[in-house]
Amino acid sequence: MLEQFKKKYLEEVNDLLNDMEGSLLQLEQNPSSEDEINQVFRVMHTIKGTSGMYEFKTVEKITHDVESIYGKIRDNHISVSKEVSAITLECIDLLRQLLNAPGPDDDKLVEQFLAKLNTISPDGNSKPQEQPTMMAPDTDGAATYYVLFTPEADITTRGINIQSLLAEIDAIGDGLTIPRSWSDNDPNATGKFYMYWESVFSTTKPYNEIEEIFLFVADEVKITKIAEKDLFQKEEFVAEITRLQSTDTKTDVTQLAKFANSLFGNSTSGSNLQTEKNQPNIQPEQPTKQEEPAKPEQPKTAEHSLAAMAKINNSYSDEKTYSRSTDTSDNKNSSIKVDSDKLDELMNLVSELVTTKAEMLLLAEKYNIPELGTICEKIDKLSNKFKDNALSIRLVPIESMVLRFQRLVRDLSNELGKKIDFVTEGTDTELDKTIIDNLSVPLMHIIRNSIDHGIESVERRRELHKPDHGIIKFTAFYSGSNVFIQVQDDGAGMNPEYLKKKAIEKGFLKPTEKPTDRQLYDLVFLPGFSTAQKITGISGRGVGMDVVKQNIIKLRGEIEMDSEVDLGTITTIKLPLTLSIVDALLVSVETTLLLIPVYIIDSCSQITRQKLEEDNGRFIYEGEPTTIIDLRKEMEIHGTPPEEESVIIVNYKDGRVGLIVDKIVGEHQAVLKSLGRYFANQEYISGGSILGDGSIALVLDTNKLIRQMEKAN
Amino acid sequence: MENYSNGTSYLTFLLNQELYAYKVSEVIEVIELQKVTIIPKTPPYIMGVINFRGEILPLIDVRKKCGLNATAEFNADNSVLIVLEINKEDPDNKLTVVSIVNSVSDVVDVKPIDIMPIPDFDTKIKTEYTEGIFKHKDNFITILDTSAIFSLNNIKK
Repeated sequence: MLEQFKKKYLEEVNDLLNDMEGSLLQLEQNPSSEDEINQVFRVMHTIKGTSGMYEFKTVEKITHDVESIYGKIRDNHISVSKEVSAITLECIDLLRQLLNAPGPDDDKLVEQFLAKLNTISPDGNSKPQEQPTMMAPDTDGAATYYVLFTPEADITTRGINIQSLLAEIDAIGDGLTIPRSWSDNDPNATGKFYMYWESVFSTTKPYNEIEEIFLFVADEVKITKIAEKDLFQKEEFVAEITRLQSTDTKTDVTQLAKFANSLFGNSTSGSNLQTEKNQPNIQPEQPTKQEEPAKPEQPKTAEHSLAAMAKINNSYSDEKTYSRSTDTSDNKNSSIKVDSDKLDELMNLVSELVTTKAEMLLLAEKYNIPELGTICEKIDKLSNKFKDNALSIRLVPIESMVLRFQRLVRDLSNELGKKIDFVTEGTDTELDKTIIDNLSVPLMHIIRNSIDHGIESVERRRELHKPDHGIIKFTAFYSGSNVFIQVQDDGAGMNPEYLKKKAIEKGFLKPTEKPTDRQLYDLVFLPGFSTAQKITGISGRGVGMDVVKQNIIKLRGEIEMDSEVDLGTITTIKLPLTLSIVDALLVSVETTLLLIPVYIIDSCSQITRQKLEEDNGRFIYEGEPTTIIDLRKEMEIHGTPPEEESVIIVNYKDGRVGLIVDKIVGEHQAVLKSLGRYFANQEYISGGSILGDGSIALVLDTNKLIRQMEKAN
Repeated sequence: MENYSNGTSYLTFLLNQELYAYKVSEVIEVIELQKVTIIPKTPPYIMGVINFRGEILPLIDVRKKCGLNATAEFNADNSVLIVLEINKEDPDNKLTVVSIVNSVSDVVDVKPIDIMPIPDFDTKIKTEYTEGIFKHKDNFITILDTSAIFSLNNIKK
């Protein structure tokens, strides 16, 4: 049971991260978009909540810290800088890794990440619930401390969790912790961890409790009591701390103490400075009376400074957060998550219904019952609607996948120092989930190629009088029962002459051949034909486009490329809407029923054995000699062929191949079923479909069949 | 009924006039012979596929798989089909297959202690495909090891 919940949780978190990635990329374009900021905030908040439930403590911690940053952004205290968006993307990656592929170095990564995060949000590690002590007017026994924490370089290997230390300081009082990094030439930094922390806080807790926190790092910590008062009650002090926070040098604690004292009158500057262990007992010398004269001038001091504190600390009340998150979730279009097994089951039932309907139609025809015929028609209409509906549930918008490409373009173009705009169109086009799942890898590859080889460097683009920013355009649209996806770039394009040279070099082409440009572009899809002039880490290793093509073919799709030198390249992928139903031609050889997908059929023709013998086994179709495959022979089906046989002419690569069958039975909308693992090795039968009378027809994968024949010859 | 406790139920059936048995827990249903669709280029023991409640299932001739005499052809009068679900506990290897036999005869409960190893001289069926043998009403009945017979590892192309 628990595993099941965990799976759900992981799915949910992954979805949320995808959403968030999208928002972030939007945010990079438009850093002040409130919707996107809220979306990131909401996602972090949601993940934080569920992670807490499932005891993913690290995830909870990370999301909490990032959430606080976005809380601050939301309240306009910091803006979405490049660093912020970069670190948030990093956060997404880190969370994905932690959840999906946990590794031994995770703890270290998390620590590094949190440390980095801290440089952006100085108090990212604040607790979600603020301690209410600030609110209490009674500040008796309160004191303000300054803690300098300069860990040694080996801190992380000693099993000390810096974050939990910081969290403990945070919990002990109210104030803030400023993370700092050593400047390069600071002599004090020798042998130290690359970061150090300064913390200023007020607390009512006794000194030894603070000491206890640092029990294991006592040598790396210096605790100084600045004042026997809660200095954060003073607006000036808060302002000063805020100022210190924005500087990047170590705070001069003596100065700070002086300043603190000045707030209460200059009387005992520095004298109440107590350093480390020397002075655990409280010196009750602070003249509380001196506070009095200051008060009339700032009647609402406490409140004001409280507000200021709240700003620094980004303390938000939980109600506020929840109301926000529910607000946004209300606005989101209502959708439910469904187990894909249930969808498969639904599809199975629908196909059963379609089959049963066909059975009934057969009966109606057999006994010639017109009334039954009308009912059948009605059922026919309904089951068609039912089928379309069930199919549409499996369809998801391409958008879900495009985010990843946006990210890819962003990251890669930064890495390569190119300027690329990624433009999308028609991302609401829907495709079967299975297709989408199997499409993202090939598409990634194509886009990667465009970034790496297509779009030129800024210098080169200037030479060519092209705008600095290259464009990669991703377009999706419907056409009939197909979906087309195009990836277009305005880059260098492919040079047919270069391709030709390369092809001849590698023996893909004879020097005498005169291929068309289109044929040359198709060479790119051949295994081992890599044209990358230099191998980069990104692409050009000779595996690639052929694998892309294989993947597309597996999805019953097609792919082609077109290009123009210096204008760019366009890759077009044609895909079926869904994989589970295919329009096919039902043919027979003896009693064996076969289905040939309609989309691959060019035309049908007749043939006699006699004619075939006269032509020496050659089949001329429309004046062209065409390869033929005798399915009877190929499938080892015994019996005598009829006088006249049918030839189904199918497209294969750029040519055509004829398949000889006994006869054409008719068209059939086939609900594809797997033949099961027993037949996983089956070369060219991709599945079966149950016909109206309960018999099974086998679905032919003609591409595989022909390829296999080619190999055999 | 007498030995209800601790016994395992077996479905016994006739194949070439010999008695064999499958675990009842693996049997889904016994049905009459269906229309068989032949799949080209498969080993001889795979007779083809049948439509069982909208599912396409492989039909296996255990005689050919286990090296028994298989001269007599199956037809509607001399055969029934046993639909089996094997390796139920293992989702990766779970498999539904159909076994063609001459007839089913009985369901019997057998205690583990009554199951004996196959004697060496009994060469009718390879011992690797059996789980043991037991005596029931003066007949020796061989328990077939479904997982060894139907597992996918030894399908040749």
